[in-house]
Amino acid sequence: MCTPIYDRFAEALLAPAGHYPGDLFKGNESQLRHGFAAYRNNVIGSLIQALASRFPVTHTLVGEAFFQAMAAQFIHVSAPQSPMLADYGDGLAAFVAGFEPAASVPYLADVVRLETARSQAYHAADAPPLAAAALAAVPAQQLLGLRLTLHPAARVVRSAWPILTLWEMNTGARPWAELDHWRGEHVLVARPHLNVVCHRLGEGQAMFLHALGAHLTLSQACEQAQREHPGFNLEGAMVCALQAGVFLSFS
Amino acid sequence: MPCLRLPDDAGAAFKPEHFSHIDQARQPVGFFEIHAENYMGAGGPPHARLGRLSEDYALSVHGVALSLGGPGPLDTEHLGRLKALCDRYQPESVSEHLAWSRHGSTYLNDLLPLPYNATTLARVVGHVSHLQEALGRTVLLENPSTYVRMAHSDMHETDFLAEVARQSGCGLLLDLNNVQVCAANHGFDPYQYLARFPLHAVAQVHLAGHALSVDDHGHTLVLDSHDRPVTDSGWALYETLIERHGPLPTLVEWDASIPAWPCLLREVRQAQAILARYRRRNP
Repeated sequence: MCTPIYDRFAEALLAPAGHYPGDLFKGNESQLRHGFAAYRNNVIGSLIQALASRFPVTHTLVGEAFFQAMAAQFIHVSAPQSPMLADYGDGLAAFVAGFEPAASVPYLADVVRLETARSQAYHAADAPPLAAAALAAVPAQQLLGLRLTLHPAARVVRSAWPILTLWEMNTGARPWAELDHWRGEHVLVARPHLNVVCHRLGEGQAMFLHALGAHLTLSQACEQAQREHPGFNLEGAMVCALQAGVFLSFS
Repeated sequence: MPCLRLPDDAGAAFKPEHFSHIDQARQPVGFFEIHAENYMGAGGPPHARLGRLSEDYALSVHGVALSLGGPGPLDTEHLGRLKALCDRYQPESVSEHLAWSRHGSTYLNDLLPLPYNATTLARVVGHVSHLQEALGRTVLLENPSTYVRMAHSDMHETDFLAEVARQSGCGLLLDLNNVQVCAANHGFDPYQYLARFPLHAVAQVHLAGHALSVDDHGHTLVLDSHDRPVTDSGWALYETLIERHGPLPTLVEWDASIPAWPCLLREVRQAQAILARYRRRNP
């Protein structure tokens, strides 16, 4: 009996402004319209705010008005399906990639991917990263056959744009400078302890970690990286990855 | 069911921006309250801070997303997250809202109003009972702030809350700012609301500030904004409550335009001064 009340209330909240299910309420109509508008503003406004706090650099890059309009459209097609707002916007990068008004900012979707990875790393499960000493104990002939499990916080974001440099400049981590060469950057996002840290990766390293994340053995991942990037150096890549705290365990 | 309690002291909403200040020295607050949903990630800094906090202070876990007033069954996945959080930190108090926030699978991220009648009463009692069974403890249900009155209501809000408490065995969280907001928006006297409220079931009080919104037609609406200090009339209402009931765990809430920690602490101390005036000398 009561369910249609909730359906109509919710549908009017998410519908374009102007929808007002007046028969659900009692009292002075103009006062009620004001009250209903407050709920509508809360719902959309708080979701935009949730996205703005999860994607601060994206917000900075496009500015307040553009971000609000873009976020409102995203919310319209992809309203949250869970109260876990820390995860809300995992689909924003794909949305931005197809968002016509953002076409003039071609790197925007990749910056969103980087911020998604950073936020996921921030909330990922805590675990001590695998220490180099643990691998040192493995007999040399078995080493290449190992499969490494990535640390819960570790993410690799590959991009044809200098996303980490852009991110750093927009957070104050790097001074502003004109970019002469817009070279792509592959980024390793890690959180071995409490702080999320980003590292630049060579193309071979990025491919190697990606392959390890797909549960290939060390030798398979190394072969894949070397096939595409003959200069890939396994030892150097492993030292960097272990220092960054990218691995959890091996088997 | 076990009924843990917060101390009859004033506490503060915990905001991460205050952590370094709070972590430097023991703060003179009775407890901290967190929004449950902000601590449902797997790990990271939020849990590190909460872990530290819960070592030194009593903790109140305040849920905002369970949609206890909604038509459908509870979101069992979300209920599982709340249970995991409570199992991990063993808070002295767990509370939620008399409101709904979910439509089908869509989460609306606001505390929406429900009509008060026999049908919704049975449903809320069912949801609160489900929650209490899942957590294995009693919870507190908070009176809402509302901006519209529902046409299908035929019960007074205070009677509705009294019945939910009686039938489910839950306690109540009396949010005095919500009383002020509703009184202003719906034109009633907050003292009369207080006089009707089932005070015997109240186990916690919330204090906060509210904002005024004026629309194009000059209509005013009071918003439950939690972005400014408690008003003088809010303090007066609080003192009346404590005089009538005696000391209660009392939270000073802030959720936007967060002030520096000393400002928030000043409001906590103001509440503590009122509590001290009505503390019995020989407990």
